[in-house]
Amino acid sequence: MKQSDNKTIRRSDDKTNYEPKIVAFLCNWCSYAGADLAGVSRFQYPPNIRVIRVPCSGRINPLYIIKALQSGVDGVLVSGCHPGDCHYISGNLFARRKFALMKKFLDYLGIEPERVQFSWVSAAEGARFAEIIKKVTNDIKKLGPLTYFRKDFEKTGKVL
Amino acid sequence: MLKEKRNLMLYKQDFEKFFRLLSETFTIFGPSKTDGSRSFTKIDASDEIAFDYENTKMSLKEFFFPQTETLFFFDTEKNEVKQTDVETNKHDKQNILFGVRPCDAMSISFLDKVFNANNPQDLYYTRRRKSTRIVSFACTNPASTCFCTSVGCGPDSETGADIIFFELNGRYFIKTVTPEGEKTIKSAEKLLNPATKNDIEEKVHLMKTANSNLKKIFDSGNLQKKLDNFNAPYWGKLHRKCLGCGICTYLCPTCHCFDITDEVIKSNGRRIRTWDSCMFSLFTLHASGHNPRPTQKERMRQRIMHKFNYAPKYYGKTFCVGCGRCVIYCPVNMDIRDVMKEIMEER
Amino acid sequence: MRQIEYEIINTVEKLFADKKIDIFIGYKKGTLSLQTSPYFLSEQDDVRKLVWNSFCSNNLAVFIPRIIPNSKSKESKPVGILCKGCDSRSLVGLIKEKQINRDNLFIIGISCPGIVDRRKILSRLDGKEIIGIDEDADSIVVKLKDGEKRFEKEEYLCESCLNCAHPTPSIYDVLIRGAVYSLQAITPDPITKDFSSKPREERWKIFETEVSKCIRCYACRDACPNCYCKECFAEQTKPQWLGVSKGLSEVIFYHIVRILHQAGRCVDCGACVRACPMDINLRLFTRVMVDEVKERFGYEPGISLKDTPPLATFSADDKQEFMTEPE
Repeated sequence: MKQSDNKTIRRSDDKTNYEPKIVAFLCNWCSYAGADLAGVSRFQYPPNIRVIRVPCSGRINPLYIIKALQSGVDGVLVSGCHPGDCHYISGNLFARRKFALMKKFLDYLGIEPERVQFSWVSAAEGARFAEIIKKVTNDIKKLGPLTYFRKDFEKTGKVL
Repeated sequence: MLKEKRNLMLYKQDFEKFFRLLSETFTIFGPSKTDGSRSFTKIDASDEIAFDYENTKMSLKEFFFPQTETLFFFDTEKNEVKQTDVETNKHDKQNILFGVRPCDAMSISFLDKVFNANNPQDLYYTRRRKSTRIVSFACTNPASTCFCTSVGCGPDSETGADIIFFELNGRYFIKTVTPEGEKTIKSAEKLLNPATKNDIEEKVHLMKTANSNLKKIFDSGNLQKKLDNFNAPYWGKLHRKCLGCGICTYLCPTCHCFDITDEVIKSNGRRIRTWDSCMFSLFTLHASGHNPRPTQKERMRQRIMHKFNYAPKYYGKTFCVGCGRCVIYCPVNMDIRDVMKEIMEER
Repeated sequence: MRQIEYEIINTVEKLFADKKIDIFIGYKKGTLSLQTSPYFLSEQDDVRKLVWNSFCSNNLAVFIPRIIPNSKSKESKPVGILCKGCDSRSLVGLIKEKQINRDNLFIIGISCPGIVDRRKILSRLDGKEIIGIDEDADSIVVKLKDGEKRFEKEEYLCESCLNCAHPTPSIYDVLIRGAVYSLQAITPDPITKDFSSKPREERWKIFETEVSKCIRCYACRDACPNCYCKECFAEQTKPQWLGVSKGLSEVIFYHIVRILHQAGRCVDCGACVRACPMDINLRLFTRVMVDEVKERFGYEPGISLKDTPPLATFSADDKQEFMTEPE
């Protein structure tokens, strides 16, 4: 007996008029401050990101990224301090290794590499932050919504 | 119950016609050649049925009691609850499960005691159960992992089935077990002839051979008494190689433990019932963090006790049909037959 | 084979006689043909039941973190264990990640000729019942009711054994030497190379089809020695990462995260593949991490007790070609 929640979800082709939802995990010390600077300096960037502040890019567990993708976002950006500038000395360098493996693995499985991106943005780089958000938003816009493993369930049934 | 069980004969060359007649009124499910008899799937033509399979990998229980079942949907904004349509059948046809092994048929009679008894009755299970006929297929060539005769089942057991088929030379011997079984074959009546004395003899002989291939390994009655000792020393040893995965419980045709949880996405939610396994630590974990079954020792004891001691007390039946799935698929070859032997030998 | 079995039995007997160990984990004859079963034996048990053959497939290291608490008292004796190449690599990982103490182990290492994949043999028997098994240096003879069939071992080894670079244990207290095939280990493994060359959508389709068979029994996790977490993310409830339904989304989520957690740990022993009741080709997805870790960080898990696990260290000049730069 086939279950409705077990069926294959097709990749969507609807790319027109589509605004992606992107989660940005930003480290407290550099990228979050960079985003702040972009704001106070009035740099324009697409309003597609939802920021989650984390203490350090080293705090990111790949689980968070996958969970975000499963829960309905179309892409994830993780951003931390430039190598050498980590508030915790080396958190971002540990993170870089994890990210490298994760990026490779998701690509290998067939998830578009643009869905999950990593970047370095310092507290002084407001303009760079805005540029990166533009790029990430554009990339994901081109891909369209991520539907093929989003958690969803069909709502059939009678109203009681 | 049926006043008189009928013995009928069907020639193998008429099977195709028989199948077509039945499929006019029923949707037929069976072990199919295309998925390597992994589970019971919809069969459209008679030659898709895998007759020579030993047993499907997934037991029959998922047909009536699926691994995930939505009980209802709810909307927290609109404040409403939506009932699910139980998947009975889309074409208003009833279902036939064709080619069920007698052990699996018996397991359904056990699940009936759990879900389909008078009080309380499980709506979802019952609806599917009511619209389904079980046509079982006697085992003429039991596998080396089968131990049905040790637990009160057998290669020709009729319990749980509506009709049972025996494969004789060039023809099928068909025995109707229940009134529903009688109704099921009504449309194909013209293809069936009453069985002669010779036919019956051939069938009896066939099943004798099949039975002789099955060794009786333990006596479930004695076992139940033996298991009354909850703190027996062997529990400290038996579980050691158990990995704590859920293969045995998920593939078991009689294991029926489940969990009920809510899933919510934004304001939409659903309440689901999913299989659970006593082999998992989460099964008994309390909200406080306390776990009354902290190690695999207690979990394994629970599994054995539930089947061989508690179930006979509550339902009057050992909840094991000897299908051998847990024996075949256990990654560390924890053989329940050995476990039973070990328990019986312990003084 | 017989010779090696005697050697194992004698060594274990001596260990018990010298009171060096209280418990030993090896293999005994299984109840099914083409299978053995892990055997926990103490002094009073029959040491002669220990076996060594081409079907000793379980990675016994999985039991070690479960039976030795990390802070073991000084008085208790080490646990004896029979280790193939891959089992010892798993132990190295566990020791390095401080899950167990090397002093609490007595390892009988055995150079492994590779484990025969019982499913490969079973698939050639058309469901015929096996009456007996004979094994010599190069082949397995399966006796059936209507004759016998010979299988050359080399062709029927497990996938992970076919590309095993270290059949001889990396750590041991006693080593029993046996025949080892002169296997040529290739990195990256041909299966991942082949998979990578497929178009993206097809790769996802394959992944989806494979994991959609999953029934969430967690045997892959439970059979893995390097999955030692006391509380798995799959079972955490505060927060709950993973839903409990059998939906495709949950299954995909579980497998991606499990495999990522094993990156840098996985020794490619194949225990998860053999444990899976639904025959999911898990190695197709786990192996790529082994290759990537080797290529990127020059690290092979389980080879040495000295080098630091790749994700517990870093280098200032690690490659970062994947980082996003503004256009």
